[in-house]
Amino acid sequence: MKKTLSLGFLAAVLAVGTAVAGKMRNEDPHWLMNDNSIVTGTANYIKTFYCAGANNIQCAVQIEDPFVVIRKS
Amino acid sequence: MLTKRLTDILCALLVFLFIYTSVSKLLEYHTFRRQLGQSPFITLYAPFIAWALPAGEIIIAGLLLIPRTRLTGFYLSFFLLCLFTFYLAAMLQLSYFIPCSCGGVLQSLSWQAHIVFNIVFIILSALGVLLQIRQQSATASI
Repeated sequence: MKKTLSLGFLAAVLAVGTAVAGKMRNEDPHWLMNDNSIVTGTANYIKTFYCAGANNIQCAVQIEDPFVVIRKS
Repeated sequence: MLTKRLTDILCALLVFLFIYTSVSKLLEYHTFRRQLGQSPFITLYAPFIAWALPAGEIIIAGLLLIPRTRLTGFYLSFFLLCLFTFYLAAMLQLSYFIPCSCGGVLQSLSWQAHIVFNIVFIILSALGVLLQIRQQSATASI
């Protein structure tokens, strides 16, 4: 039982560590918006806060990697 | 012995998945809540789901950690993962706008890859249920 508990707990501790480390390490990319402004944030953040809507029209281009494009209606 | 070891490994995998995704969601709570609010099926329930989902995932991980409640944990994992997969499939079929409300690195998966990922974990949960029942009946017969 102890071994089982320790394996599960190890997984739980690793999961928390990985999630927190991932959050801390993430250096957010920069995005060029349609109105030529530059915004910083994850692709998910930009899609949610700046480019909500159906995926039809280009909304933002990642400056570090211009092939990454976010679209909206 | 092999059954027990396999169950432990399955349990650890599911615990890792649920804790990782729930902590990731909680660390980016505001983005997560906003994404849920934009989702066409659950807009009305977004404020409730935004905290209930990570809390539910943590509770399931807790149930999996305790040997006495592990079977319930496997059943709930199976149910929750099936629910996620149906939601993803419905989003892909019925909605043009698809916000990703996944936790951590999972948000970089495509929706199709996400469904495959979920199906793999559904199979692991089902396997966990079967192995746990087998293990419990073996223990009871001793």
